[in-house]
Amino acid sequence: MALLEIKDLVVDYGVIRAIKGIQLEVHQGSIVAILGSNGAGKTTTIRTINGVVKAKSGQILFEDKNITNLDPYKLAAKGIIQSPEGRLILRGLTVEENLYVGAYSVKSKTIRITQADGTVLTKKQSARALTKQSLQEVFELFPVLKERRKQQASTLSGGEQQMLAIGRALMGRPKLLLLDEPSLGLAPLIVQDIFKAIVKIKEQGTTILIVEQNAFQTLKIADYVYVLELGKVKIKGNAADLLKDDQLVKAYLGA
Amino acid sequence: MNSLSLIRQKRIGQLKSLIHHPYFGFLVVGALLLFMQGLRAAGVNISITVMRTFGLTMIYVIIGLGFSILLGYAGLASLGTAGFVGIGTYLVGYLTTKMGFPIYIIIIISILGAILIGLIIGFISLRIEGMYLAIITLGLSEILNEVFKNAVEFTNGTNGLNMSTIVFFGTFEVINIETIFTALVFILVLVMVITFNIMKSPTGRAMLAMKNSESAAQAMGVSILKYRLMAFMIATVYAVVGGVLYMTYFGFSIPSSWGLAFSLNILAAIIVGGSRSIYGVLLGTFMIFGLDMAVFQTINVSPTQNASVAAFIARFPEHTEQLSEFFRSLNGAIPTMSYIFNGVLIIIVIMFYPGGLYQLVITLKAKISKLISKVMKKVKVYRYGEDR
Repeated sequence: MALLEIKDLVVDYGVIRAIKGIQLEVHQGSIVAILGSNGAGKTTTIRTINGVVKAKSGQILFEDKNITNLDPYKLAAKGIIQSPEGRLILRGLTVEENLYVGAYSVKSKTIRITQADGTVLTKKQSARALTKQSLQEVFELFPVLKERRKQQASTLSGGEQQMLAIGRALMGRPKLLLLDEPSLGLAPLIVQDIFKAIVKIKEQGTTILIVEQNAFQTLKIADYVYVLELGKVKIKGNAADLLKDDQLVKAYLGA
Repeated sequence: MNSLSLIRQKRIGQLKSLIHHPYFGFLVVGALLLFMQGLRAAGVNISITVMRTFGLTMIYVIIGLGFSILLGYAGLASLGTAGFVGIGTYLVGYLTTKMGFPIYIIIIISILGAILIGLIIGFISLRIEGMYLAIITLGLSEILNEVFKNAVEFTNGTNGLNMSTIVFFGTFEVINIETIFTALVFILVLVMVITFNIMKSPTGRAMLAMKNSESAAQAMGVSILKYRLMAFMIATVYAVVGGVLYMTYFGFSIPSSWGLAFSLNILAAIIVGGSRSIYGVLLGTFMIFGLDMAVFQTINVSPTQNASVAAFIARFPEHTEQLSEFFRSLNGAIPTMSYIFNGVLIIIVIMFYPGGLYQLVITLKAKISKLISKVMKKVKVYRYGEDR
């Protein structure tokens, strides 16, 4: 069963049809990448999932529930959190405050643990404790944020800002993390750092849907890839297989 | 180390944590204001004008705190503050003098009314941004002002509404300005504590996120609708409650007080002080309103009323006429000089300290502590010699 499923999605911008009926599945615990050139509809797809752009027709299912055209803030409560394109960090706030804002949608929850003898233990975790825990996790993932936690977010470098944007999204404890062009405007070395962090996030159990221009790097970390062209899925398949196919990579991804 | 000094150290630690508690500063502000009133009661010569200045400024601080949440946190500009303060004054005036409602019921009614008004304006504001929102709220405020002028039945029109008694437990009681001043101090401290909690809570952070970037805030689960409405509700509740307190303390309300000038002054106070800090609002309000009332309105250099000016003129017998003419015209101009002073202040603050005077205070504090630590280091080197 797929965590996220898109069926026959169609999106219009006024009279222009941006997405012309795409099918897409994201399985639990994997990294799925959407690739393609400018204007292929990558960002539109991710924005439609996140409810910022409304779909004309088609369905988006998350955990088998219809979430098409829900408002973004409701999706955050359901566990779909986006790290937006261009980072959009909150400039007037410190690094730590930025991260706390990310924990806005975290609610207290009770965990049920079934023991070996059949009895069920219930454990209550307050939102505050969960927030503290995710703050620790984010600092472990990006130690540089811990060093700079009292610093104004606007004074961070581009790479650090991207780390902050991803960290802020992780503070909401997402089930599905949407990453919109995390390599945008960053130096190649820093892009590698970011991509390593993305793999770590996946290993910790968060499912990731990533939209990227940097096709070659993305193919290396992704499990499954969709290549869009002019609003349609042109190619789909395992990233490892696509990486082997030199001609295809040259034709569609320009890497 | 013996047990006595251990206990002493623990005490010092407790004291330190008490001083660093965020509410400590608010209590100090309240204590200082009460202390001033105590001094006056003990016979120290503090004029009634100064007391009234502090009383009214406290009310303006309450209004300003609501506005700082709206502007500094939610990033919504409004020029309608005056209208809502006016509503508060007429509400308490009418309900007391005509209906005989007790003051605590009136406060509850005014808060409920303010929430309703805030919701309406919040809904209007949903599709309007920045300067256009300011113009819309200005329009609303002007409409309210016309209503105040023409609903003579409720507001006594342009003659202004008087209120010299309030009802507490079923009977009319003459307003005692000293009692109200004390009550105002307690209300101010309470409002500062509430505001602090709003600012530091997830609500405050959600509003800051919304101000910075609406799409980023939404991506993190912040509902723009909810927080816009909430910001307007908080600002209107503070403004209307401020109006109720104003009428109770000052006892008189006239439509011309609730025009654009008042809204702009509140805006100026927040910008001069610093829109995201409680102490900044306190500082800014005292600069804009307090100085005007306590200094500019009270200076009197008319030669017939000011003895030292008369003495100065007497030293130049051949120019008596020109000099007394000069001082008479100067006396007429001084009260309006506060506008010039405020204007210059706003320009200087915006140019050099966009975070407000509070930012200046913090910068100075950091510089001084740096200087002290530098000097201490020098002293240490001088006394014990170089380490390595």
